[in-house]
Amino acid sequence: MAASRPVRRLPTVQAGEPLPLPFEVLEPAPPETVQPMLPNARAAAPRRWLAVSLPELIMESHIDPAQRGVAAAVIVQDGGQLSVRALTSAAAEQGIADGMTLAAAMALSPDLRLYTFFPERVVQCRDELLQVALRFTPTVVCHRADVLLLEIGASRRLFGGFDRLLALLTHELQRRGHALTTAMAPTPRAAAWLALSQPGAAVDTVAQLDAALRDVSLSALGWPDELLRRLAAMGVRSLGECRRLPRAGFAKRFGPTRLLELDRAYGQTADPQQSYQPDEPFVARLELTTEIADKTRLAGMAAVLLERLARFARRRQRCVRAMQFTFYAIDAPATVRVLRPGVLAQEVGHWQRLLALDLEPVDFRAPTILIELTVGAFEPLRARNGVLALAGDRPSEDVQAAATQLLLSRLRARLGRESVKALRLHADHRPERAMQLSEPESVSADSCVGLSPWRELVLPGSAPLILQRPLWLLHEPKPFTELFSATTKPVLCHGPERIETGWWDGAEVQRDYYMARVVDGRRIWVFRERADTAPRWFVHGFFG
Amino acid sequence: MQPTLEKLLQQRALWRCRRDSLDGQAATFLSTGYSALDAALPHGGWPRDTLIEVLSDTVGVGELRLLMPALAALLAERDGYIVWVGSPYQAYAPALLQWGIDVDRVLLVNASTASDVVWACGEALSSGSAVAVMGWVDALDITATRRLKLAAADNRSLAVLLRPLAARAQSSAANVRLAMVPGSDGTGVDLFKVTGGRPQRIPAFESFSAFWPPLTNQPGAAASPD
Repeated sequence: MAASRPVRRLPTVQAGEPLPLPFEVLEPAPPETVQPMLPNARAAAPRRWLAVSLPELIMESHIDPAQRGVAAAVIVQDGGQLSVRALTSAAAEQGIADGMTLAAAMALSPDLRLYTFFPERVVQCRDELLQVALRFTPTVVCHRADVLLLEIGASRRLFGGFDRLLALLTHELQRRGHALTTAMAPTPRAAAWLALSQPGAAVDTVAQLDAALRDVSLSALGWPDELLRRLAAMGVRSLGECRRLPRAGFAKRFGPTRLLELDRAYGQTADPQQSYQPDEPFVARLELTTEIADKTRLAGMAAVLLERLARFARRRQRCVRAMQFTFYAIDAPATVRVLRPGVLAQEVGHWQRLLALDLEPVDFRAPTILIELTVGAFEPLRARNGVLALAGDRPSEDVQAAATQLLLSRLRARLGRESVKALRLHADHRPERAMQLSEPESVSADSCVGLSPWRELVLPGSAPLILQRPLWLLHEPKPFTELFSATTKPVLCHGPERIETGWWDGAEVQRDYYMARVVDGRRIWVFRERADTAPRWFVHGFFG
Repeated sequence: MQPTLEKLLQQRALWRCRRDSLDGQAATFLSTGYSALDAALPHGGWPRDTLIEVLSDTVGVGELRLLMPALAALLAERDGYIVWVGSPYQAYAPALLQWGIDVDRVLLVNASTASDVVWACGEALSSGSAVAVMGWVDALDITATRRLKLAAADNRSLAVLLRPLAARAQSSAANVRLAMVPGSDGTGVDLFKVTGGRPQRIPAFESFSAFWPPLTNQPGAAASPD
């Protein structure tokens, strides 16, 4: 069918096209990316690029929309020093600025909420936005870390005009809590520059580009500072002034790639783009020649699939966080098992052991005839550093992290997904809320760095005795009489420590806590409700 | 020292258990953080990279306090986690922090049966990512303890088993075995097996009369529960 169609010469692909693109390509591109598409459109719609700039992407990917009302900042460690990388508008009002050191920021706003910067979060957030953009056009490009490009030449008609399309897209992104600026132009680069410097601009033809780009400041181009300084010294600050320079001299002074960038922006040279391609899922099946009921043999058979998955992932520089095995049987429902190896544990051998552990408790109703392995989502592969021999027998951080992930995945395979927990502190005076259990991989629940009331109370010697906490806490306080016989009487040793808080969220406590001793030598933490007229004692913890 | 004794020692005819036999290995011992206990243990502390057993029938008698200073020191020394397997109650993070333990480096593993606890302890030890593993377990045969001890030695981490007093009758490969003896003034420790040392009793490993005196001003008649 495709062969009968006349071969169209695609307008933007030229032989001998110089390859180097000064793009910030954040992820390795998938193998084949034939960008100029839509060869079957009768009259190919003119290409129009809509650029979406997300200036606050870092802040938005770290801070929930509900938390953005207060002064908060995303903190990054560069060198030995912590500094502000992104901030909310409330923080900006207090005089905090991007790049300020943490100490300076805390001096300006002592109750600044702090979040640690994780590059993965930004990438993840951006990928989500790219997928949202895919609803509007099949050609979506990640131009820079914070600029997306949508080719909307044909989509304009489908969505009922440019304005409607723009309104829909803006609504979709704003609904997700993103601030954005947009611009449209016939070339991708011009659109991106306009979105950064003249938000809202819409240029329809190449002929109008010259006028539209004339006043664009060179700082929007993302060129190195040193280059901008040299241009400024020559009195060149805007694109219009830049274009007036003689071409040969410009290329000689500033390099041919800069000139090429300008030519591409003005539509004088083709500007091929690599469009974003979401991950393809991995599905592999293994039909067994005979039905197999033995679990060890099944695990051995599945190794073939795991090998295939490992090859698939390695070729795409991806790693697997979760994989699903389905064991099909004749005349019986299939058995589904989900394995979760850590992202640093990507060896087939480990996956096999994990599968064997996982299958151990499973009761197969009927022998298996077909094994299917599916992986829906992959993650970028994280390279692992080797150990330097000079470092002695101290394992490197990566090796340590990989060992921890192996341990976690094995414990979970045998004891259950919920069996391993980590402790997180929480800034709350109610004892039962001062701590939360979380997944060991997760970052501290609310990434508040400071301000937990426990930080100042380190070590029993330095903490006032009255604020000491027991090493064992009962999840629910229990009446004293339930745990001890009626004749046992506690001797109160310290107290009271009054904890009276929580009236705002419906879980109010008004308690007087005492440390007490029981005759059998136990030290316990007891309280009574302040409101109780006939006081009853509750045990809340043991000083283990 | 007597010349005859000196001579015998030089000829290696005498083997001295407590000091010289392990000379140069002082760094392989870890202070308990309690002077009375340090004095009772050979070389002034817990042995490293091995198995320790703590026996107690009740919680809240100091079975964790006994270990906390050593665990905090271990965490400060090198990377890795403290893994709690099958603990009877919830470990409380603010208290751990008060004892100088980095809360982010504690893993709690929920295991109910004895075999699961032993298996999880073994996995944690042999993973190499644990500086110490604490397991709560009742019944245990000597082979299992030997295996845990080997895993601890191979991976240079400390294994601690917390067991009921009844376990005293069972033999174990642990280097140090002790029973908690709760008393009115602090908890005593009955060291009934100490490799390279002598079994002995310590009346109280921390004094409570100074630390936790009873309240002189009791909160009224309502103070005592009915």
